[in-house]
Amino acid sequence: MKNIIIYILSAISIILVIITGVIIIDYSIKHPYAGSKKIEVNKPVSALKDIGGVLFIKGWSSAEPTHRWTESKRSHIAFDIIQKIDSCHNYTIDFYPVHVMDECQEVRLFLNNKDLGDFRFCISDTIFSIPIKSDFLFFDRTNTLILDIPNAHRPDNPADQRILGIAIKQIMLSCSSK
Amino acid sequence: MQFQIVLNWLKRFAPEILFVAFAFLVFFLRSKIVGSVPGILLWDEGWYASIINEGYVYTGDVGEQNNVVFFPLYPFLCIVLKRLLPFLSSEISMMIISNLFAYISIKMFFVIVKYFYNYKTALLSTLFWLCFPFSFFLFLGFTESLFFSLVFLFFYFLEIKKMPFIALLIIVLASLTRLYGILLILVYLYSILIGTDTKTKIYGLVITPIASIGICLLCLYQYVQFGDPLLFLHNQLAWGHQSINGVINFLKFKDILFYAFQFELDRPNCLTGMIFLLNGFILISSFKLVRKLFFVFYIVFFLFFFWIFVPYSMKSMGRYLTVLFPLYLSLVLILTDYNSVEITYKDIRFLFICLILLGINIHLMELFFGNLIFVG
Repeated sequence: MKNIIIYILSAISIILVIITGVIIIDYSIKHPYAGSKKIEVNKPVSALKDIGGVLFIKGWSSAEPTHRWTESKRSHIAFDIIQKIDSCHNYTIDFYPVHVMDECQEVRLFLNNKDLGDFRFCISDTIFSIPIKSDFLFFDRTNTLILDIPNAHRPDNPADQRILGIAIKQIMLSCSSK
Repeated sequence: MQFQIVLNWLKRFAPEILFVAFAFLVFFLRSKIVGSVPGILLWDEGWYASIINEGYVYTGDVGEQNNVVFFPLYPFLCIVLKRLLPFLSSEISMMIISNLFAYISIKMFFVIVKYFYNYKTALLSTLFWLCFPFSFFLFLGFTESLFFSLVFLFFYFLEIKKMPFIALLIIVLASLTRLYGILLILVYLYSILIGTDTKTKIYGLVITPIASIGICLLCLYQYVQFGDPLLFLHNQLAWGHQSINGVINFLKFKDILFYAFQFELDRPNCLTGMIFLLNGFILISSFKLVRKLFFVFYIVFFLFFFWIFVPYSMKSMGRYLTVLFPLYLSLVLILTDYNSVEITYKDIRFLFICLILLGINIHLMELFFGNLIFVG
């Protein structure tokens, strides 16, 4: 009798392992990074506070007092969206720039492997708004935004070995009325 | 005659005497430096108190430090004690639970070593363990004492009582105490696989999945509550434990050397680095010295600590390393005449080593309670 109970418990635990395993695999596919930042629509997110690098996951320099530089010709941002706004069909990703190398930089953007096009980011802009269709966004999994900056280069200061493109202070996913 | 009675009494209650002596020492130093003993919570004690008072809270930002990385068994036991005795504060209940399990772990360690070796080895190993740097965490509001108790109970039921089912249930509890509690499953599997009786082997293997119940339930709880089944791992990012991401970098060895040879002996990090190296060295020698099962435990846990080590986490690595009990046992076997009933020169020399280690331990306590550079 005692052994039967133990075997039943063992069978239950195998089922538990399978269920947990499926949930973990499903979660890991939908959220490929160890942790990702959850962002709210229409709420700016500071580029300065990203402990553990969960938003600016790759190709970004450490935060400086007022901004964060891209540090590669390819930089990645990963984010989850907290809640979908049903009435919103068009979104923009807004970058709030602080510096741009050579005053202007060509940037090609990819959202979830979909090409958003080429954009010219200039220091004279107060905001870079990139329009995106809601179909391009994931609401149940992590979104990955890639910035390709082909003309990023080292600054004149020989002590600075970073490959810099643009520096931003915050980003925001906005619901666009257009 | 009277003397003999006292001596027998002392011998009989040696683990209890050691527990009371060291618990008193830690409490005395803490109350002297911090003030009221449970008044100020130090480092992780604060996180456990937050779980006891408010439950698990997650801000939604995996980059921020949240209490979801702390495992539930210890705070759960404190909550149960608080419910039973409502007049207790969270801090007092934490102290009671920690010290209760500190006693259990000391007693169980003594019992296990005595069973496999002899009384003298058991006494010296226990004394050595308690004198060893960082061992004072046993008496604080951390999970160390609970985890150690479960480790020793695991060996007790697996090796002495030959009750694999109970050993598996203890793994369930250990994995709900600390993440690496689940590693005991490897020790369990080794124990089962080296057995000679096929029927016992099959039985032992078939029931192995039971060990995973704890960690699975925790994953499911965090998935339902916070949407991430591995939140306890992912939130480690906020503590700087990058290697949890799966990056195995054995070049970290140079970091350990760096820490070990800073030659600033007042720094706990340096001491941790040295203990790490000592463990690595003794690990090799312990293969022939200690029981094979203890050796398997030693190598599994040592490699795990090696893997998760990053410069930041070295700051709390000292207390993790205290669980590597085969170190104390091996050193006692190397440094003393453990088979001799008489007290020899070697034993006296060993007691002096204990005294020096106790001095270092007290110095560490002063640094820790003084909230100086020492992160627990």
